[in-house]
Order: sequence, then C-alpha cells, then structure tokens
Amino acid sequence: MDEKLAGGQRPLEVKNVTKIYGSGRTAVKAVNGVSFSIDRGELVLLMGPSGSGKTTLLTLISGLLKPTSGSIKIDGREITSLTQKELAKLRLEKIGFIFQHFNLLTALTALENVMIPLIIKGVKESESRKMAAKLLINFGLEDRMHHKPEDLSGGEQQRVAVARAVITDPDIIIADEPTANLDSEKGKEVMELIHAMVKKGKAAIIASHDPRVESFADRILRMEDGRLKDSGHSRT
Amino acid sequence: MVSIARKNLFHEKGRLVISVGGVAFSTMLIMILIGVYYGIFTESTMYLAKTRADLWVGQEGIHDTWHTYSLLPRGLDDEIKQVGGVKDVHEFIGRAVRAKVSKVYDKEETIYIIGFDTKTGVGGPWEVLKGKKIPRNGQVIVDRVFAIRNNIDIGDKIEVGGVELTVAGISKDTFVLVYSYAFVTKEDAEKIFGAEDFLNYYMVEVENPFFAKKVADNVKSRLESLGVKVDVLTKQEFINNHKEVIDESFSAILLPLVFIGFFIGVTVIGLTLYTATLEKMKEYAILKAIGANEAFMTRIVLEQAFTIAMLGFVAGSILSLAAASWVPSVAPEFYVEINLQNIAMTFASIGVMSLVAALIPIRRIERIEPATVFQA
Repeated sequence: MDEKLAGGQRPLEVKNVTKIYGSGRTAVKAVNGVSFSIDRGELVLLMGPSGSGKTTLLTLISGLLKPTSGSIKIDGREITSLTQKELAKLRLEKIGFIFQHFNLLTALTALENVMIPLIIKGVKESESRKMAAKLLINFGLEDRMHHKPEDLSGGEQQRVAVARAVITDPDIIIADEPTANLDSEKGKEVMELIHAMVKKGKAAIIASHDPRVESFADRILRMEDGRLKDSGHSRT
Repeated sequence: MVSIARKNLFHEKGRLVISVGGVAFSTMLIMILIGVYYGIFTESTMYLAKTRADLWVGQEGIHDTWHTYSLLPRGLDDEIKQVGGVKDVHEFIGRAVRAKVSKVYDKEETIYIIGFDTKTGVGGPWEVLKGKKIPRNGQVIVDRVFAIRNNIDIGDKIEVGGVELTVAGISKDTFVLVYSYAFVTKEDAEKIFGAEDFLNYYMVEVENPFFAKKVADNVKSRLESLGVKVDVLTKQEFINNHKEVIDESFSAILLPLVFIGFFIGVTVIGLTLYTATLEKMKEYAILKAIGANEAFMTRIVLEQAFTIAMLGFVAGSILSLAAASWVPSVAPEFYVEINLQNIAMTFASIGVMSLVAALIPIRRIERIEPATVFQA
C-alpha cells in the first residue's frame, strides 16, 4: 500500500458519505454511509443492481452533486466544500469521464472531441491538436480521427471517449457502464485501454453490470440499497 | 480554433439558413426604414443643398420654406450687395399651390412652384432627365415623381392658379415628401401668386463660405438698420430647420417600425438560440461535467448569437442595397439612402439584438445540471 501511495495522497477517499433526496416522509437515502478509497494503479469495479446507488455514488465523487453528509477527498483535497467554479477546475484537471452512451459532441470530429478538455483548459489549439492526434493514433483511430461520431462505430466512439477522458492526464477515471453498448470484442478493447491507463498510475472506478469487466478489476465493491455490502477485497 | 459554437451552428444547416434568413429580414427592415428616413431628409433638402445660396434672408421668425411663408419687400438686393463679403444676391419666390394636372380627369395635386431668374439659373432645377433646364414664360419644369404619378410628359399641360403651363422639362431629386417642386419663370410665378411687390427669400452668395456666419450677421444688421426685420440663416442652418420639420413629422411613424424590425430580429435569434440550446442540453451538460465553467458556456452561446447576427447582417445588407436601387422604380416617391451612418446604426442594432437574444439561453445553460450526464 505504501508503494501505491508513493505518488502522494490517495487519489480518492470517501468517508461515511450519505446522499438523501427529498425530505420528511418522502426522503430517500440513495447513498447511505459509504466509505472506501482507491489507490493509484488500482481499478475498482462498482457492482450492484439497478437502483442500488452506483450512479449516485459516481455523481458524488465526481463533484457533480453534493453529499448530504460525509467527506470526499480527491488527491487529499476535500471537495464537498468547493464552489462550482472550483469543482469544474478540479474535474477538468483530476477526473476523466467515460459514459455508457459515449456522450461525444455530435457536431465535432473525433479529433475535436478529444481536444475539447484541452481547449477548456486553455491549451493552444496547435498543441491540443497534436496531443489529441497522438493519443488517437495510439488508440488505433488514425484513420477515423476526422470523422464525426455519427460515422463511427460504437467501439470507435467509446475509444474516442476514453481518449477524451485521459487527454488531460487525470488522476482518476470515472466510468459508468462503459461496455454496456458494445459487443464483447469491442467491450474488451475498451476495457484494455482503460486498464492500460490504470497501469500507468491512474486510479479508476467503474460502475458496471458487465461480468466481462470483472477480469480487469483489482477490487470489486458491491452496492445494495445505497450501502456498500463490503469494501471490496483485492483480487491481486 | 475549434469553435463549438460555430460547429454546432453549421452542423444544423437548415436551421442556420432559417435563422440567418430571419436576421437578414430584420436587418433589411431596419436598414430600409432608416434608409427611407435618411432618404426623406436628403431628398427633401436637396434643393437647398444644390442651390447656389450660402445665406437665406427671410422674414423674421420664419425659418423654413414649408410651414409659413416668409414675405419680404422687393428691392433689398442692392442693400444686401453693399455688405462686405457678399458676392451676389438672387430672389426666391416659391409657394405650394394646387395644380390641375389633367383636364380629362379633372385631377388636382399640390405642387411647390418656384419662380427663378432664368438668366442666372440660380434657384432653378439642377438636373433634368428630359427636356429643357430653363423654362420660358408659359413653360414649367416638373419633377420626375410628379410626372410618373400623373402620367405627364414633355408637351403636356398643367394649370396652376388659372395660368396654363406647358411641361418643358422633367427634373430629378426635386420631390419633397408630399409634393414636388415645379420651376417656372419669375414672371409666371408672380402671375400665379398675384404678389408682384413681395418675394419670399433673398438667396445670398458670399465670397468665402468660411465667413458665411459673419456675413449673415452683417446682412441682418444692415437690413434691420433700414427697419426691415429679417433672419439670415446659413445654408446649413436652413437645411437643418427643414430636417427638423421632417423629423417632427415622421420620427413618430418610422421609429416604431424600426423597433418592430428590432423585435423581430430579437425573436428570431432568441428562438433559434433557445431551440439550439434545448437540443444540445445533454452536450452542454457533458461540457460542464468535464470541467467547462460558466464563462466558457456563456461564450458558446454568445458566439452562436453573434455568428447568426453577423451572417444575417451581411445577407441583409446585400439585400437592402439591392432593394434600395429597386424601390424607386416601383415607388418613385421613396428614395432609400444607405449611407455609412445607416449601416453603423443597423450593425449596432443587430449587435444589441444578439446580446438580448442570448440572455435567456445563457440563463438556461447556467441552470443545466451536469449530473444528468450519468442518466441514460
């Protein structure tokens, strides 16, 4: 563990986080007293049935929602007290997102989609273009980088989404059902890409129902009714 | 630079064309209306601008040729010529009168008869499209609009104040909004008006127009020392007085129309942006989720608004220029003047329009919840 922490603080620490929607008799505890942490180079799989609170938990650790109580630290920084502007900056620099439905911008080419986080960050266009092109070539999309999402297959779109997620070299990758819309071969390819990024020192938390993803996970967290059934046992 | 705003706009070409078309229409409406407004000013004061008179000497308290008639005694020209800096003096006799333009239909129309000195030509028409520039007694030079409207040509007759006049020429740019100038000899004008002892204005040419104001003061002093109460106005003052008359009469009509054009533009850009924003809600949420801040999102909407506005402005300006040259052929009364001031005003209107139109979509984007990116 100490070796994994050599890079500094843990990328993600969640302590006793609760999220309640509504109030009074209609209050729903979507996440209930959840605690766990993830180290660098670790891929954590978050499993559980629909409605178990997986997506809410991802939303909370992304800083897209504020928890009702508890603490979330990214790289040692408490994010529950940050302003929207600070959270946006944190997400841009520290988190890469991968979604079930790819969520690429339809009017932009694959290359431009990958450039977007860099453009938001204020990196020069020429540099952004060079970095995005290099990454897409590494991801085997050299011939597809000038195509729009509508002209790409699902697998290609998800690879572009992975490239967009890692272009800013974030510490954490947060993925929600990244293989759900892909066939087994393409799903495996995408997971291999994510796994490769994790092995380069990133941390990843992936919410998924897909048993194919299990083989890539270092640890599995199981959720039910907003609670973690166990904090996950290392599979290595 | 990869512009999400422009990429979004050009991705939906059909909608872009409709939006640009709407803004172009608004641009055209605003530009043409302002053009008509300026056109009225220019055309109505063209006679004063083109006539060789640096100073206008009129009865005290009367500052334009349209509202009330200035009456001055004849014979003051020699006195005026005595004032230092005065080069020459000419008489102006003019008045709006009813003219019977066609004996067949017994139709009457108001025209502004101007009697001028045919020897010097000062005060007469400055450009004729057809026929003669200088009439003889019994002849009249009528305006192009008047001729078109009444189907009159060279050789036709009109009757004014019991005097029958033969059309000898057709002049250009001598239409004054509701009536047109018609030029006759001084002798015929006196017969028509029945006032041989009076004239309306003295038109004064000065040696050096730079000192016109000083000469005007001296002319006023000299005439008042003779007991004649006058006001002496420089050409520009006299033109401005006429413009004020037009402004008082037509601003109230034209400005609401300009406002309607502005409102249409705001609505078109606003609806386009709002629809585009609603359609791209998910994508804006993605941008917010991956770290775009409010300023970045606002820039996207503003850039979309300004892109639509500028494309519409360019298209609308081209259409307006085409319309400005086409309008006089179908409506000879209208002269559409598209000058730099008009273009600048329209451009500013379109700029403000896109800003106003962007406000609601910006507010909408501010309220987008980035957490929705995790929803299916």
